[in-house]
Amino acid sequence: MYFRKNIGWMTVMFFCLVPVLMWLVMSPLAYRFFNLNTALTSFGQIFGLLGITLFSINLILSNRLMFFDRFFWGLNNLYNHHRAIGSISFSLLLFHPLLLVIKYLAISTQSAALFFWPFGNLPGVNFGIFALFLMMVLIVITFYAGLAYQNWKLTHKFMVATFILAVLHAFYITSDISRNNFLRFYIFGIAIIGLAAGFYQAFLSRYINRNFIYKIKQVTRLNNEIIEIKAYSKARTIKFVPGQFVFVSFISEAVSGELHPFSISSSPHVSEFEIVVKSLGDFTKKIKNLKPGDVMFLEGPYGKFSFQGILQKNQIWLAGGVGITPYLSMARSLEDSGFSIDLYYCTGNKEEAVYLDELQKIALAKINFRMVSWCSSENGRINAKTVYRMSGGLAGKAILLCGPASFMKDLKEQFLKLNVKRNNIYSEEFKFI
Amino acid sequence: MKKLTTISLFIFWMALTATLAAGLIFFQNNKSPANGASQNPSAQNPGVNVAADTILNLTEIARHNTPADCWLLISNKVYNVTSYLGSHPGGAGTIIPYCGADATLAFATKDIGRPHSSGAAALLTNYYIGDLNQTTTQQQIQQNVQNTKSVPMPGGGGRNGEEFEDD
Repeated sequence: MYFRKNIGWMTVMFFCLVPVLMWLVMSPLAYRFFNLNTALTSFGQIFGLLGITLFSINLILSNRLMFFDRFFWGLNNLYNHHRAIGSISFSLLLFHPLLLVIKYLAISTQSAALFFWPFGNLPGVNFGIFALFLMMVLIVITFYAGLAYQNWKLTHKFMVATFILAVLHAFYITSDISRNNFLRFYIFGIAIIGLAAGFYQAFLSRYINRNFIYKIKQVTRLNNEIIEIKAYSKARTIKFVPGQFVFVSFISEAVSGELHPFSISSSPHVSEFEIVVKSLGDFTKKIKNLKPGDVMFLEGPYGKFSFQGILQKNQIWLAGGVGITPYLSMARSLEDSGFSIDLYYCTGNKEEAVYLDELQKIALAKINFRMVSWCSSENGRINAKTVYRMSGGLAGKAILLCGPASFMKDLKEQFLKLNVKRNNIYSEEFKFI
Repeated sequence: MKKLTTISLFIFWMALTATLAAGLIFFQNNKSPANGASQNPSAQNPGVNVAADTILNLTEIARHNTPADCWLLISNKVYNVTSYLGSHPGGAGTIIPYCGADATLAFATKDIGRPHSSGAAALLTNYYIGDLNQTTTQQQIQQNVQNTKSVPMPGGGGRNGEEFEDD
């Protein structure tokens, strides 16, 4: 299980290790590290080499390929990896010039200062300076500006331009890349794939990835915030595992055509497709204005969050608010195949528990499915000890978490304190920025 | 990971600001390069008759084949580049394999088919100690070697691009 979950990371490490090993053997280490000056320069070089490799890999990983979804144990994990790899790559690239400038400092502070001055160097070096500063702007926007998802996504597309500059830098200068054929072709190959992948994801994917075309049949306001959309397809229907999610874009006067991820709430066994949307941001607030007949494109399905495929048949499902949606799909499609499920439907108050009636009916009809409704306005926030008591212990049970970030984080910590193994807790944390 | 980014950004800007500020403040000072510590020439090779005739041939050059004592033969001229190794933009590692040997082709092509700049060629002349097969004395050689150790470091004022490459 550990291996399956981490094989994505391991593969990334492998692709980073190849150029490093090549670099280590292509020139005797005694020459690279024979004094402090050359050692620092050597670290600067290897940082640059690793940085551009990770940058390439990250552009490749920016693609929402089905294969990546499986390989990286869910798209949410893939995005977490993307964030981590991006941060590491950026930090390495920041230190790359800092380590290289030290040999100029040994000569004079003036030559060191000129090294950082754009336009002051050879074109190859200038490309690097521009790439680094553009990257810096984009990373600062990503981590600190707090832009709305769509606006951020627009800025992030410029990473492709950054990458082009970085690649020009890598190939324009005289370096280990130019001195060693293997390194040259390796970096060139991975960079070309990265560039193609990044370009595709940034500019083409939304036109090509429209795999499934659905028409909206019904838009229902379940309460002030929660809207249920039912749709059907006359063409190819999407096949998914309950618990998975899709990226959706609408063709409608009501909303813009952006892509947004939503959990599928319908059962895979029925032809009617359903998503449930909570009005949170600018985009989702307009969802209620969608009309029957509007078209929606689906891209997916993605995600690893499902009761199927978990070894333990005794499971505890914890839903926080609109986090009920993947469980809806699961409960609706649950068959008597040895599973025993306790679903905790946790909401702020009774009005928010819009699917309570339907789930209670399922609980009555299916003996292997129990449901607990929990309102924090009446009982306070749910905690792991309560779950432990109400479900009669946690031994040998899998725990699934879906809801707001704090809901998942707090419960996860509490369950870990109750000696539940980390591997037995399943959740799908989503963090795009 | 956000923390890593924040720390890296902080260090980067600190270093960048410090470097740029120092470059500006010490602009004048850089015009008079610091000289290397001078050594007594005769102390270097005790037991050698420094006044005797000697020939600057391949055998003699080949004796200086370490990073600590590195001579190069380039276009039939002999250079002592020991003090320059650490400053080479391509890294010392690209020169060291040629220490004590003929580096004419390597210098002409940088091993990758691109020539060095004219600035680099000018820089090289500072490290000249004699012609191949020139008859001279140990004393003269040591004097010339000594001179190369106090070569003004590149980059103080004039810039020739070559030394500002990435590696």
